Amino acid sequence: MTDHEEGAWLERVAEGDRAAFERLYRAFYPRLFGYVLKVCRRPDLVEEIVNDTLLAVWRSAGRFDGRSRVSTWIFGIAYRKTLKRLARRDAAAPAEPPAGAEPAVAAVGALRLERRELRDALDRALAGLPPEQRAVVELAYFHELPYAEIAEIVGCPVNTVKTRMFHARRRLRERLPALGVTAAEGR
Amino acid sequence: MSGAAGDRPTRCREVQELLPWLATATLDAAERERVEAHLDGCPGCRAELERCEAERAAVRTARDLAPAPHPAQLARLFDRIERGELDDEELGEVVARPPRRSLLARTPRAVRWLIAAQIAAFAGLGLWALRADEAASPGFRTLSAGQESSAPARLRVVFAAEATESEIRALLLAAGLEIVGGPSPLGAYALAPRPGGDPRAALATLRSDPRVRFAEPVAGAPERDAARP
Repeated sequence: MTDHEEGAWLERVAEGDRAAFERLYRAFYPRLFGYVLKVCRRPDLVEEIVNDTLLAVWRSAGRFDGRSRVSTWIFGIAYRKTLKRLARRDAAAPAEPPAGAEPAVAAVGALRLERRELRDALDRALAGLPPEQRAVVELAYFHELPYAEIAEIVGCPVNTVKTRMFHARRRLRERLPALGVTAAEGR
Repeated sequence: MSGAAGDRPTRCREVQELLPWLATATLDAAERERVEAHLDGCPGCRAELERCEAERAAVRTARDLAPAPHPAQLARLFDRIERGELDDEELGEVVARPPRRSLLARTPRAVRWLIAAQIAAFAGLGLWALRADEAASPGFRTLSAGQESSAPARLRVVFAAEATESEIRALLLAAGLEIVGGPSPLGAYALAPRPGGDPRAALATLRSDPRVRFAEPVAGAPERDAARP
């Protein structure tokens, strides 16, 4: 789906068109699933957050003003839903594993795991970051979005996005000094 | 080419904040040129760019496959859409604050009718549930008539149109539930746990089953005998 197509589908969703919603749902579900999982690191909550996000898309499609891309708008909803859900469950959240222990995400047995070592090492390193920083890392490196668009999604000034990324990378370096080597081998 | 030596620390920090986006080629042309000009004279920042590229490669390589949604999830979301407008509490905090009326206005007419019909049906069910354990009302007793086990209705359920009798039977047996009333004109059944059954676990079982379109506790389900005249 191009941006233009997404806009057209969202317009139909705003009119209550279920077939259009189903199409958007299928297009966005996998993208949102990966993104939300990376930000919240709670496999038990991901499905719920993604579905809540898409329900909010249905309900508020009429208020999309076209000033950003559809995907930016939807990822912004997912971001806020994720933080909100994490805040609600903070007390009940399992503690992040201590260094060296298996990361929480390894519990997602149904997901196909490839290049397990690199994945686990990166995962442990990312585990130590706050979700706000993980979101920026994910949006910059995986989704390859410009910082201005990330700023729209997470709702903060562009300088905050750059600073978050800078601090996130500094902490990744402390926790994963050998990343360059590992990544090169993994290619 | 290199930046002035005096302001290098500041420049390096500025440049390094931009390197992740140089690595993904998402800087605009002017910014990219500025950063690249600095890199020409700064080995430290060049090394930092290499690390950014390694990080990016790692994030992309380490990706788990994101699953496609199970069809039952979409069906459940549509169910939430049909009844969700009624208990919409938090939307305003997630997207721009909506005037409440616009939500209803955006609901398709058919759905509004369906919601109204469901409210009417469930209100009726609720009333009926209050009387469900009155043995003197044989019209409300079904297969369990004659047994002493029949409990007040605790759950109201609508099954998927395509669910067969044997599927429903297996589901109810697995969940430890029995039908104590219904169907309503809209197809809603009232269910109660079998003796020793756990209504909350049963509700979770129902909600996770794609053959169940709707499963809710009966509001104000009576403590036994509380509503008996």
